[in-house]
Amino acid sequence: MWHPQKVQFVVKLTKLCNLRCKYCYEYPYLGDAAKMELPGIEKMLHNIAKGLSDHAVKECEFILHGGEPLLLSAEYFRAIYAKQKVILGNAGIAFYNVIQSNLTNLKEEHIQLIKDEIISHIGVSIDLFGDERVNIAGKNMDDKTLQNMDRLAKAGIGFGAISVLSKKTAPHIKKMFSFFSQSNIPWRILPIDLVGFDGQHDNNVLTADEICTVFKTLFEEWLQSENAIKLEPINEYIDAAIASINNRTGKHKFDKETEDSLFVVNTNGDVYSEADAYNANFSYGNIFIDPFDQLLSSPGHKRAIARANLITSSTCGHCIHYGYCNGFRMAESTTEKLYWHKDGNISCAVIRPMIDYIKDRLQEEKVMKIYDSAFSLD
Amino acid sequence: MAKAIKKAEETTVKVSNISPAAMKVILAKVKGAPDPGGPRSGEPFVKGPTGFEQSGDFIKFILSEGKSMSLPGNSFKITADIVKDISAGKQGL
Repeated sequence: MWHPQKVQFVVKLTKLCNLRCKYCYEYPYLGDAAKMELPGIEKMLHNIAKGLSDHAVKECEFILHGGEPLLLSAEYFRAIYAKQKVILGNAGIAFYNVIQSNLTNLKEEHIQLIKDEIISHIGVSIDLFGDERVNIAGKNMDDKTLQNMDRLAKAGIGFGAISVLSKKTAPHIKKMFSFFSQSNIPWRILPIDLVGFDGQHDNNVLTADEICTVFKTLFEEWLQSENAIKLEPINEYIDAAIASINNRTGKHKFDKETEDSLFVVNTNGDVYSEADAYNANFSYGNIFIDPFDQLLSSPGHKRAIARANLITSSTCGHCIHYGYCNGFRMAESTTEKLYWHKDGNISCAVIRPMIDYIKDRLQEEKVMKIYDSAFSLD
Repeated sequence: MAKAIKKAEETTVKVSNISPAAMKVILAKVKGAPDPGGPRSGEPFVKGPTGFEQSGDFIKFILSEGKSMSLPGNSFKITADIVKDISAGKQGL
């Protein structure tokens, strides 16, 4: 029976964007001004409220995504929140909203949304280097994003950042880390994982070995940094490495059928898993129309579960870290992110090497003794 | 080797080149790490102040890293030298 602890909905409110980042998987649709209309959102919320209540799920998070969501008015977000409060509130479901934004169109009314906790968290998309985050005229927009990061900081609003790892940004990885580390900003570095059109990522995607080299560099930089910021996916690998070293009991292996917790909702209401987003064969149905249980029992969802199981049985089944690493990342890997071994099987070509590397590093010769929260060098 | 990190009153961690802050994070993970992995853990971000509280700090920092960029409203191209002047109070952003 489906019973995750909490559920995340990545809601594509609009595809419209003022930028044309060269690697964006939504690139072909960024000029589409259509937005998710409130009647559809209301139906979605009723559907979610019933579906989650029927399965005793008490918490959900909405990741408000685009396109660029901050091209939409504050009034629109307040109207969504009012409906969430009534529909989900009456069902006893706790919820919160997160926005992922390029932060180039941050208005005072948007800042007020965060102050009013209608938006609980904000993630800023910025690379700092690579010159891939450009507007329609081809101008790099990082300066505008930086200015608005300043405005948020001045308003006392914390935020995180996401950068894309590509051949263009990889050479600058130490400077990128230095920026986020010294700014004390939680940071996620995300290798290109979806294609918007054929040929989009030619000569820009790193190999698995190259990604590992970057991630190892980041681990080393993090290890020596003064702030030890929340750095994903490195922190996730450290968690798994420590659990593996400790032979921690209570292993957890992700089961998509019972724990599926991440749903991508397209602007028209069609629902997908992250791995299979926009692939019609893997669509669960339409959340504006189909009851939630129908989405879960749909042929598309069954295919997505079978795909996830196929990947984890191929890559995780015999891995010594399985259970310490729960296999979620492999199960939800996009096709672009899968690495194929020469024997024809899918290979865990980044996560496992990283956990191995961190395990080795945590077990090197120099000894630190830790007494409760204090520590000293031998 | 597998016993290098132990959950105990005295925990021994073998690792070189580690900062106090990173050590604390690792110790916290040793003592009670959250379930490894999980859905999109990078998306919901931790609230709290950033290290830079003053207007212009972010731009100054990145420029000090050797990058130059044009700022809207400014007719000149900001360079690392200008950042030094800003820091010295000779120019404003």
